[in-house]
Amino acid sequence: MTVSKFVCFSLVLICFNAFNQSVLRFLPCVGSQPIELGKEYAIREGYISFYAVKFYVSDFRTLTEKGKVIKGLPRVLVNLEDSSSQSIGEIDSAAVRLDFLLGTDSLSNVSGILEGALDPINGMYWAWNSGYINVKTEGIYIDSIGKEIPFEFHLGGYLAPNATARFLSFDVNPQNGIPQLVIHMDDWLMYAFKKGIYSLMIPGKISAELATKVQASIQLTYRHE
Amino acid sequence: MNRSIFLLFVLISVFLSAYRFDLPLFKSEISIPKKWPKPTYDLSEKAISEEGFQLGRSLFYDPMLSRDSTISCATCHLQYTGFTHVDHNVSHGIDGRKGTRNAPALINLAWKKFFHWDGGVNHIEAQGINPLTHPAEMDNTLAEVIRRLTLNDDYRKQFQRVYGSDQITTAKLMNALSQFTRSLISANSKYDQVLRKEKGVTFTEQEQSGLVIFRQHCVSCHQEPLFTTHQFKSNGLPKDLQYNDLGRFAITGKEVDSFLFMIPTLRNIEFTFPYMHDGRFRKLKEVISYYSDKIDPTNRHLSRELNGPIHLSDKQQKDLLAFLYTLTDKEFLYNPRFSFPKK
Repeated sequence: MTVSKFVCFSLVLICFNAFNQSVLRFLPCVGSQPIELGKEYAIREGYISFYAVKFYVSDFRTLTEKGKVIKGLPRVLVNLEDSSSQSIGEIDSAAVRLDFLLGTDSLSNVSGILEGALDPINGMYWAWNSGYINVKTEGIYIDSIGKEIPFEFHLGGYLAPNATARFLSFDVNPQNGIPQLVIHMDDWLMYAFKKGIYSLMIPGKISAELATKVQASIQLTYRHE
Repeated sequence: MNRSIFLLFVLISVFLSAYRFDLPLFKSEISIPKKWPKPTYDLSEKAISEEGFQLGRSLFYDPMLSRDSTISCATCHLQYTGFTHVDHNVSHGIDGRKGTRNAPALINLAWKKFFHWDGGVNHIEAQGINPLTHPAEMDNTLAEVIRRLTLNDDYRKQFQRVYGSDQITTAKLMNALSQFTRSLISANSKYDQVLRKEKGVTFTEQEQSGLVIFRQHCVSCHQEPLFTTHQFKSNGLPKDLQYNDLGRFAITGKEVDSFLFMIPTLRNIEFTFPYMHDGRFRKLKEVISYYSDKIDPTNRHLSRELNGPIHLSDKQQKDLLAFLYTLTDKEFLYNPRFSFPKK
C-alpha cells in the first residue's frame, strides 16, 4: 500500500513537472520561417539558402523574480544538422528571466583542448589562431540580379576589444506559451552583405561588430502546441 | 652478514642495469634545471606519466596521423637537429606541398606560452591540431585521426593505460602529444656545464669572449637560460617577397604587430639551420653578419633593441659563433628516450 502510494505520488509529480516545464529551443529563421539546411528562402533582396548554421550557447540560466537561479544548463553547440541540439532545456514555470552567453567564455579559449561540445572535432575551433568560432554560418546568397554569392561567416575571437561572445537576457513568462529564441539570420547577414562582406574567417573589429548584430537579431517569442 | 652483502650487491646491480639500459627507473621524473624560471606547463608526474610520455612519443613518430600515412610530426621535427627541419627553408608536407615558414625547433616548449612564429597558438595542447589538419602539412581531419587510432588495438590499449579508458578523444590525443613535447628539455650544453661549474669544463678564451659579446648585444632578446624571451620582435629583415608574411599582425590585426615574429631559442642553434622565420639564412655566420652590419636602421618596424648599430669585427663575429656552438646539447640531440620508439 505504501509502495503504491509512493508510485502514485511520483507519477503525479512527474505529470505536474511536465505540465509546469517546457523545452526552450533556438530557432534560426529567415523572416518567420525556421531554417532548413539546403532550402531556399525568398528575402526582400533576393534568395538565401544555408548549408551550415552552428553556434555556442554557454551559461544558460533561468531565474526567479528575486534573481535566484532556478537552473543552469550545460554549454551546448546548437547545430542545424542535428535538430535535437536546438532544444536546450526546460524552462520552469516559476522562471521570469533567462540569460545566457552566445558563444564561449574567454577561459575556455585559453584552456587547451576541451571535450564535449567544445571538442575541436566539432569544427568550431580555430587551430591557427587558438580559440572558438562562436557563430558559424555558410550558404549561398542570390542577389536581386540573380548573381550567386557563396557566404561564409565564422565569428570568433575572445580578446578585447574584439571579443565576440555576447550576453543576452530576456524576460520570460511561461504562461504565454512555450518560449523560443528566434535568430533572425537574414537581419544580420543582410547587414554584412550590404557592406560587401560575404566571407569572414578571422577575429577582429568586423567580427565583433557582426557578433553584436547577431545578438540584436535574437528575439524571445512563444509558441503554442 | 653474507646474505646482507649479497642483497646489497643485487640491489646495486639492478640500479646500475636500469641506469645503463634506460629501464623505467626514475624515468617519468622530469627535473626542472636549477635557476631556471618556473615552466608555463606542469612537468610533474601528475601531468606527465611514463605511459603518457610513451604514448605521445609513439604518436609523434607515427605517419598514420597524416592523410596518406606518409608524414609524421618527426618528418619536419628531427631530433638530431633540435626537432626542426634541417636544410629546408620552409617545410614540405603531404604531396610535397610547401608551407610558408621555417619549422621551429621543439626545445624547452614547457616554458612557452604561445606557439608558432606568430604566436597564434595559445596552449601547448592546442598546437598539435595545426600540423594534423593543415593542408600543406598532414592534411588530415581530427575525426579521421581518431577513427584510425580507435581501430588500432595497440593505441587503444595505450590510451586505456594512460587515461583509464580506451575511448580516444581529441583532448586525450593532444594531451598525449604534449606529454612528449613538454618533456623535450635541453639543459646540458657546454654552456650549462660551465655555469654549473662542472669539473673540467671551461670555456675557451674564444668562447668566453663570445659570451661577453653575446651578453652585450644579444641577451636582451635571447635571454638566458632559455635564450629567448618568447616575445614578438622585428629584427628588420626585408619583407620576403615570396610569402608576404606579416607575422604577428595576422593574429592580432594590429598594425603595430606587423613583421613581428617570436624570438626563437638559440639552444642547439648550431644544428637548427636554416635560420629566421622563412629560413632565408643557411649559415649561422650569415645571421651574425646580418645583425652586425646589415640591419636597415630606417626600417620603421625594427624593434628598439636593435636600434643601435652592433658592428662586430671579424674576430668578434667568430668569437660569438664559438660561444653559440657551446649551446649545443648533444645529450638532448641524441637522447634515445626522445628518438623513434623501436618496438
